[in-house]
Amino acid sequence: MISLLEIINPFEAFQYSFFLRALLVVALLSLVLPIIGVRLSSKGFSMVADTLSHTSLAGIAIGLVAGSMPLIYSIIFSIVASLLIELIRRKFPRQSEIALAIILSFSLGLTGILSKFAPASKFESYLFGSLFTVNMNEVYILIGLTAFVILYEVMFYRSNLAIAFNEEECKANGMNVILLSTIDTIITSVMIALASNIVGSLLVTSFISIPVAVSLKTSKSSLTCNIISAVSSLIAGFLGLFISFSFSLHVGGTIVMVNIFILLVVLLVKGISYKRKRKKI
Amino acid sequence: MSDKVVKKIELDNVTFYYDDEKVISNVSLEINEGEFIGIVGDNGAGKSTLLKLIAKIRKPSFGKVENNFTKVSYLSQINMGKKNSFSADIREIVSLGLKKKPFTFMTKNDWKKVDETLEHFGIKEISKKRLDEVSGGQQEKVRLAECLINEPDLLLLDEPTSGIDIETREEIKEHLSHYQKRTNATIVMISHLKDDFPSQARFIHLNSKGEIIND
Repeated sequence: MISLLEIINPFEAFQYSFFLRALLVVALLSLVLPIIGVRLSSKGFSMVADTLSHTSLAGIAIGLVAGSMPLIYSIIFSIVASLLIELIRRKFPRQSEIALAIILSFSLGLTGILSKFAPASKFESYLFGSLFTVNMNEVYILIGLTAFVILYEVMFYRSNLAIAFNEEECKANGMNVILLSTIDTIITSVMIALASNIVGSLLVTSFISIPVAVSLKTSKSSLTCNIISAVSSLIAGFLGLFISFSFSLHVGGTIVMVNIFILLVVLLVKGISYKRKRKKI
Repeated sequence: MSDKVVKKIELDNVTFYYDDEKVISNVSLEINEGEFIGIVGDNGAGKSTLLKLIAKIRKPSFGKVENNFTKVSYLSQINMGKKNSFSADIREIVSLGLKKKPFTFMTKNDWKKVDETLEHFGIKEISKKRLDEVSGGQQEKVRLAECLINEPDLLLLDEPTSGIDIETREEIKEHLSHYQKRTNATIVMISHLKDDFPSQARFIHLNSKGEIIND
């Protein structure tokens, strides 16, 4: 049984190296996933992240059944799926929403079938993940990847924003939009697949979408949008870690709930201030 | 003899199919430097497709398109449906007209130019807002400012005045006319209203089959 002292003393958590590792992982994910999320949502692709994190799950299932390297399988599977999404979006723009839904269902269906043949406990850890079981090697991979993605986002910031704003104008300016979009798609899918492998696809989906919704409600410029989404996911991640540690709750699920709680508070505050403004008018 | 390259657009027997449907049919035309061209025609006549062929956004199914202008700006038909999730403010949107390639960064001078352009178009006071927070007329001025900030030598505009108030329409017409006089740029513009074009405009009429009608 959990004693009262344990519940009210979350700082005890700092004694444990697994907790410190989890804090570091949350900090890294809070930096990198919302940036990807802001970019995807500017392009109008919010659903892409969700779809990719689930397709990476199908890749993991293939790897588990094959008995080797689920990470590699999930990266390959995600890249193929993301290129397929990009292709459908270009060739049949009107059907792109339905294409996402089909790829998402296909991946989940395939995962469902394969999960019968994979060890159940392992499989669950890939779906829901556990920040407390992340090892040092995975932390190093995440550090390297975070640095790479941030460098990419800075160097390609203007071209990605311009393509999101008006792809046709970029084409008329002589930019190789297809090449740039393909690079973007591959980097996004690798990041999502890797992060899903390490912390579970549930957490990846929530980090990539919910803080972005918070920041779009509260900011006007790209810079503030990126900063607010990073800070909001950092708060949710840290709070979630402490709460789940103190009350022995599932860590990924708790972080998602805190993320949603922050979003609801922001929506409520926004709603009230909007009503006040309208009353003044 | 001068070495100056003559800038022009030439379409030679261009046909374009969208899926199975023939949208543009055997179009040949020539547009020279400094011209103001108005593309007119009924709904569905293929005006936007013709502009995209000129902009090299689409490739013709048959025929040849030549366009040796070096700085091209293209303003698509307004479609702000998905733009409510766009993270940038108006100042940043206008700045995209200056620097939009990978590995490019804005300098202090670039931002100065952005602010001057915002002032010139009378949109400075809304520069910290997002595009979905301002009126249709203001959105169109923002998009035009983004297109003109880099001083293109070819400006392609797809109905820049559609669905906006008369006052803003007149303003846009003035901006375009003034810009062309100052830079001798070539402007190709689609509009339903002949009032939107300055007096020097030459017109290209498309019929419902996507063919050019000779007046």
